[in-house]
Amino acid sequence: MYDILNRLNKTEGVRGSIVIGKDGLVIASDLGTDADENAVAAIGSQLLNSLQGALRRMGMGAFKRFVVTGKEGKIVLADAGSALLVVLLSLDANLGLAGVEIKAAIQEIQRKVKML
Amino acid sequence: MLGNFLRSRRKQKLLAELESNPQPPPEIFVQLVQMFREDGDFQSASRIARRGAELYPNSEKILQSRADMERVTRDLEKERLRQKIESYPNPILFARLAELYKVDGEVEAAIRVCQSGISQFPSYGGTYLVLGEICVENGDFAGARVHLEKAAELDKYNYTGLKLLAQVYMQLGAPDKAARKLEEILYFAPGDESIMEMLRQARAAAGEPPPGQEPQGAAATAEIVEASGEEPAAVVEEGVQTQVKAAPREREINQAVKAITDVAGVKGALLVDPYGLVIAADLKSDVDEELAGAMITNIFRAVARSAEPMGIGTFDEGLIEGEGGNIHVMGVEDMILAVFADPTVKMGMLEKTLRDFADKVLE
Repeated sequence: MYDILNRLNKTEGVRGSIVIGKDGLVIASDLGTDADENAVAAIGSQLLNSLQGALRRMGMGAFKRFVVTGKEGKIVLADAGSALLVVLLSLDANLGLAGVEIKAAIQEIQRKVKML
Repeated sequence: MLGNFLRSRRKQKLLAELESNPQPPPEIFVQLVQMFREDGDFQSASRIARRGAELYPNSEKILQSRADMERVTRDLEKERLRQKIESYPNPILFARLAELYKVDGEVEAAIRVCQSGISQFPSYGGTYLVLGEICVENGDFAGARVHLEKAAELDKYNYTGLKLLAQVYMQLGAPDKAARKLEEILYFAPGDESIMEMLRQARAAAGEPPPGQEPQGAAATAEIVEASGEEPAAVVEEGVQTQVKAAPREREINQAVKAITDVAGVKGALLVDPYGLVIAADLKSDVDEELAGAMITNIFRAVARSAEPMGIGTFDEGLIEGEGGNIHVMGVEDMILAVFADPTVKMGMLEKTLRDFADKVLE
C-alpha cells in the first residue's frame, strides 16, 4: 500500500497521500508534510460522513470524490471502496494529471484492501 | 482427500445457486457462512450472512449466523487494534477498541482501555465520549456528565458527544443546560430535525420560548432602540427605507443566481448566509431549499474547520462529486454559494460563471 502512495506522491504537485478506513483509522500513510496523519484521518472520515449524508439527502447518489481548494493548497478525498484516499496537493497542481494518477491509485488500493 | 473434494464441489454448487437464484432458500446462506468460516474466510462469511439477513430478516437461524459473524469480525478487529496499539499507539485506536469491548458487553475491559488511552492521550475527546456512553448505558448519568463535559471541552464540534450530553442534562433535570448544548449543535448542523425537536422539548421543560420564536428583525431592533430611549416610530420608518433600498439589491442577487442555473447541466443554485438561511435560490428540482441551505452550511463549516489542520490554509471552494451529480461550494464574502450540477456539466464554463457571479455580488 505504501508503494502505491509513494508512486502517487511522485506526481507533480502531489505533496502527500494517506489511505484511511471509513472508521477513521489509518491504513497507510505517506504524507511527507507536517500534517498530522491521525488528524487528517479523523477529519477525512468525519468529512466523508457529512458528504455521504448530504449527497444521499439531496438524491445525488454515492460519494465519489471531493476536491477542496484552500489558500495554500488543495486536498482530494476519493472513495476507494471500503477505504478513503486523501491526497494533499500544492495550490498550482494540475488536477487533470493528478486526477488520472489518483484514479489509478484508487484501483490499486481497492485491490489491496480486498486482499487485507 | 475425497471429503475435501466433495466439500469444495458442494460449496461451489451452493455459491452458483446463490448467484443464479434471486430468492435462494435460507439454508444455503447458513451452510455457506459455516463453510467460509471453517475455511477462515471471515470476510466472505460475513458478506453472505449480511445478504441472507437482508433477504430473510425474520429467519432466526440466519440472524444468529449474522450475529456470530459480527462477533467474529469484532474479535478480529479487536486483535488488530491491540496489535496496532502495541506498535503505533494513537488515541483513535484506544477509543475504537473500547467501543468494540462495549458493544460486546465487556464493560470492564472497555473502561480499562479508555483509562489507558486517556493516560497516554489526555487531550483526545473521543475516549471520554466512550466512557460517557458506558456510564449512560449503566444509568450513571452523573458519571456520564463528567466524561461528556470533558469530551465537549476537548471537541466542541462533536455532534454525538454534545447530543448525548444534552440527553444527560435532561436526565439530570437541567433542561436549560441541555438547551444550550443543543443550540451549540445547531450552530454547525443547522436544520438538524432531531436536534430541533430535542431543543423544543428542552426549552419547554426549562420554561423558555420554543426555537424560532425569539425576537427578530425590526422587532428586535425596536426592543434595543426602546431600551436606549429613542422613539420606536423612527425605527419603523428606517425599517421601511431599508426595505426599499434592499429590493433592487435582492433582485440583482436573484438574477445573478438565476444566471448560474442557465449554464447547461446546472440543476440549481443557492446562496445562504453564514447561519444557513437562504438569501436566494433557484433550484430546479424537488430539493427543499431550506434543508439544502442547512446542509451546505454544515458542510461548508466542516470543511472550513478542516482546511487549516489539513495544511491547505483557509478554505476557498470545494467540489463534491457524487454518482448522480456534483455540488460546488464556495464562500462569497460571508455568504456561501452552492451550485448543483449534473456530472456532465462543463467545469470550465461553470467556474467562469461562478467567478462572474462573485464579482457581481461583491460589486
